[in-house]
Amino acid sequence: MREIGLIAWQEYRRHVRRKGFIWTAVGVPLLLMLGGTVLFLVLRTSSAETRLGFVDQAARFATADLVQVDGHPVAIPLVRFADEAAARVALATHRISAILIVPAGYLTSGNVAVIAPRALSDRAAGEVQAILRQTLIRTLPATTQDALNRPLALQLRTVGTDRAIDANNYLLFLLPYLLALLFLVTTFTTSGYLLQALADEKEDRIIEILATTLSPTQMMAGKITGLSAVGLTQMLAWIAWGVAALAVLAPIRRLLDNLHIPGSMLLLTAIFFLLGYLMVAALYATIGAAVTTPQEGQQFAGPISLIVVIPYMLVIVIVAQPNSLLAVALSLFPLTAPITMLLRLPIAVIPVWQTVLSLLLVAVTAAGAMRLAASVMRRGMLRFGKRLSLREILRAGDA
Amino acid sequence: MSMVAVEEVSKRFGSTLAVDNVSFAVEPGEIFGLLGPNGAGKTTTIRMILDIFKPDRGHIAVFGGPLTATARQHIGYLPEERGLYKHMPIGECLTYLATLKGLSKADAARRAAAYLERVGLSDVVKKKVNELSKGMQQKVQLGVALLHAPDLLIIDEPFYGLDPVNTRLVKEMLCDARDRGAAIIMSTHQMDRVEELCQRMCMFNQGHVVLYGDVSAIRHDFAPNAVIVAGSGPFATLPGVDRAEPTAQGIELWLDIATDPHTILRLIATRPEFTVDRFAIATPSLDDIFVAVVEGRTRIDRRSSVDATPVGAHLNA
Repeated sequence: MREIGLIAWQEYRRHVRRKGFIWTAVGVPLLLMLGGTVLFLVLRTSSAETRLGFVDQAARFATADLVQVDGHPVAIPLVRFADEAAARVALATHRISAILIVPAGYLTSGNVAVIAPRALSDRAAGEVQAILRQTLIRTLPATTQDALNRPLALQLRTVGTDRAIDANNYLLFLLPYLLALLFLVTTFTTSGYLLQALADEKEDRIIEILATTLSPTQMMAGKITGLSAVGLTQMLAWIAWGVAALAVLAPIRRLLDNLHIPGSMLLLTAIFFLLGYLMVAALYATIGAAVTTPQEGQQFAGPISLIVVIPYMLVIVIVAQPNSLLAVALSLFPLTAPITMLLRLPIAVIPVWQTVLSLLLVAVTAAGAMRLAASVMRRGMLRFGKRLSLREILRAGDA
Repeated sequence: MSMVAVEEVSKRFGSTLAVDNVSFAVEPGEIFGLLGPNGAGKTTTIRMILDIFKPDRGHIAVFGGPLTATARQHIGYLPEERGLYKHMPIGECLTYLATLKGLSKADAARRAAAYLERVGLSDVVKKKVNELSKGMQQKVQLGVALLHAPDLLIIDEPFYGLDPVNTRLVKEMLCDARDRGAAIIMSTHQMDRVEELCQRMCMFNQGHVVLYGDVSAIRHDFAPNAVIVAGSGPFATLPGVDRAEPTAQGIELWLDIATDPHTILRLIATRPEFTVDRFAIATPSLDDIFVAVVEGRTRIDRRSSVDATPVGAHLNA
């Protein structure tokens, strides 16, 4: 165990000090946040109506009607003007951002004219629409008003269970994408490090010295542990960035408050994440032990990466129909199972047999891949300048 | 108890029989030579001792049993394919690899500093391996094998790339290790180094052990019936001398089968026409012996080097 710890610590130190790691853990999120902030500010600036002028030529709206919407004060105040000319003066002197003119024939046409330097923002248009609607229907019975205000309140429930899904919480539908993305980036980054580390050690010829001190299993366990810690550090760095972002983005915080995910599902997600990572890491390690240079390793890792990524490429299909035949098939193929299950788990209730079988298949494949990696390492570590053939890899257990 | 006991070990790679029915033992406090040309099976045997390869047949005991994780920590290894972390400072590299051999980090760092001081590399401790000359890298590599004071040291061509000064330094360190009781297996092509450092040896050819035993005894057993004399007089006319050939050390006198060196010595001593500065029984170099063995001969019948102490040896082939 001491040796595994030493290797793990050495690998951890070696990789977290790399420029590539620092860039991925700190630079990329920082860049994304900066980009998001700039985009937010641009959108906000381009749609920043402060006050709207309101000219009621139809004489349908009282001043009191214009100050509240759904019981809350309006976000963009409406300033009533007696006529269009007065409103235009206010617009010209920038006291208002736009003018809304409700014409005399409004009730029959539904038309409202807008005079503004640019199109009305969705936010402003939505609020004005709500104000007009609430005024028009206020003479109707309360139940009818409610029905008209929310004619289609969807109550989503998963098939065969009572688990309700909040259709209004966009984060719930974003979660599968985020989980799969996190899995992809973490797994491939750290597995890439693993492949690189093994191929480097072969290239540096150090592996024969290590082999006299450690068993291939110890070497593999140390490296995978150390690099898992690197991946975890990266994830924690991103989570820290996420927390920082939440501290300033109140709307996302509100969505999180309303996000109810069962603990069992979180546990399953973590297990699939971990097993999937181990499986991919072991396959990458097998390649690292079989090839002669890191560059050659990347070339051979490509097809594996491509297969693992397939569910992410089909993400729209899977999320739209999480219990379709395609989704089930991808869940039961070990290489595609981790991402498929990460995509399905938050938004669907998956039959128990599928979850168990998928877990089992991924676990068996991960264990087999680890065993294969250790065997290939034993056989391939002294093959300098010549990579192992596929036949030799498959026969590696005999070494 | 032998430090290493190799018993009837064979290893095949595909259709190639790399090692065939090899047996030998290495004792504490000796430098044991593994000799032979490229592809003779030396490195494969070493890798089987180190459990990198599994033998197809036979048995290997290290420290009296199978190679356990604990036993591995008492082995130092300088492989044929030199290998170090090329982008790591040499002090850090030595310390890390020594901690894997069971030393605490502080002890490993202390020993690394002392070693680098001894081999004259203390001023480049922060330099990366790939920034060093070949000779310097070789000394760092040897440090990896020696730093944890192993009980069994296996070294493959330890003098490769070293100048005479560093060669002497490495010899001293190997002798130090031997004197503290370590068993050293030295694999090399350089037969003169084996003659100089090894008490016993094992010579490989095409996967077989062709010679095994005490180095002096082997040289004696292969000795030609010849003497080397330095001095003046008509040595070629002595009775029993077949022919005389000049060598760097003097004149080599090849004797007929019925004459032994002591008879010649007595004759020279009793005749006034001879003055002798030096008299020695000719013994073959290991190079000569190897060629003779490969050619199927049991004695040397051409010019040989000087110096031998007759002791018994074993001829395996």
